Amino acid sequence: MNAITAPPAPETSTQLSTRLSRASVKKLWNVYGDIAWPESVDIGGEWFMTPELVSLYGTPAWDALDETGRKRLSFYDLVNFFSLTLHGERPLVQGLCNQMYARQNAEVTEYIHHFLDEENKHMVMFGEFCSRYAGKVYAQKKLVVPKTYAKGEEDVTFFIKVLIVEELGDYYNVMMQRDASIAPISREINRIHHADEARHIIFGRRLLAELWNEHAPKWQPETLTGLRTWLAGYLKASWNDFYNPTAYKDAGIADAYDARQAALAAECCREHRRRVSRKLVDYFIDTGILEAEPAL
Amino acid sequence: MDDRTPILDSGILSSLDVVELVIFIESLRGEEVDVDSIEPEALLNVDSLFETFFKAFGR
Repeated sequence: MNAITAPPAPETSTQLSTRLSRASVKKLWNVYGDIAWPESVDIGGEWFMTPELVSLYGTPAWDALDETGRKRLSFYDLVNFFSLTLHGERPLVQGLCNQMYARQNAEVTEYIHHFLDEENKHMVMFGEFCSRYAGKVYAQKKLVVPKTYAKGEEDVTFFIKVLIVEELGDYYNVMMQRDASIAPISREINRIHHADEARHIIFGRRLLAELWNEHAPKWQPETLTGLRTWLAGYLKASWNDFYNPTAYKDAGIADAYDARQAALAAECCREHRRRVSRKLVDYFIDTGILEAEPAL
Repeated sequence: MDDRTPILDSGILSSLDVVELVIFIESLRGEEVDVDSIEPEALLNVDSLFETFFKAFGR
């Protein structure tokens, strides 16, 4: 007769934090010494992103470019990808500071110290790539408008933002770290980022689910509706940042704004956004944070 | 709605729409907008948008 055993209890955020802290110590790296920065890169001569991940891929603007033009666009699109990730990590670092020591949970706080250290190094790394090879980090165009929150809503909102910036970016990191046809420095930065982000995503998912289960049942229906509407809009707005007309201009595309609008409306690009977002959207639906897949 | 209707306070646009608004303004002006230098009052209504982003350009 087979013995029936109870399934193992799910790991708590405290247990998870202990495990992740250990992994962070084991995989500690030095942003100032571990990356071999080439003196220069060949813009237009080599790929910097996997072509299928370039934001205009499959659109008429892409079709109109020759191979040099496409490679050039892949460079400026990578600078945009690194810039938007850097800008996404800035408020994340700010918010993580607010989370430290706030829950009287030593294990979670210890992991947040690692999280912050790693995010700071990512910003150094992205900033260095953009400044060194493009001479700039693309500016972000988001404005923060003050808002009043229900109890726990600000923390839930914060971790939703964490997951969106990290999970969308991670899809790109995983694809590009494997792509031997792109510039080695691009592969290396994507590899380094993914190695840390894998831990951050596990942590963010667990903490967000716990926060949601703690607070959402006490919220008024209008708070729930408002948060879900905001989340759908925030995800869409985060995607729109991947289509930067300034990067298109730098790549030599004359009608940069039209190219952006066409890409946002193109079915192939919409399908790409849905594919990349799928795991994240499934998580939001499984936890009950979203009720249905948002339009992208 | 008229040119003085508050576009954010009345919910016509949300803070998430501001990025698209800024990019649309850039496409009309043909040059980038420095978001860090924008005062919140610039986004109050259509009149303030025109004053801030277009009047100095004679458009």
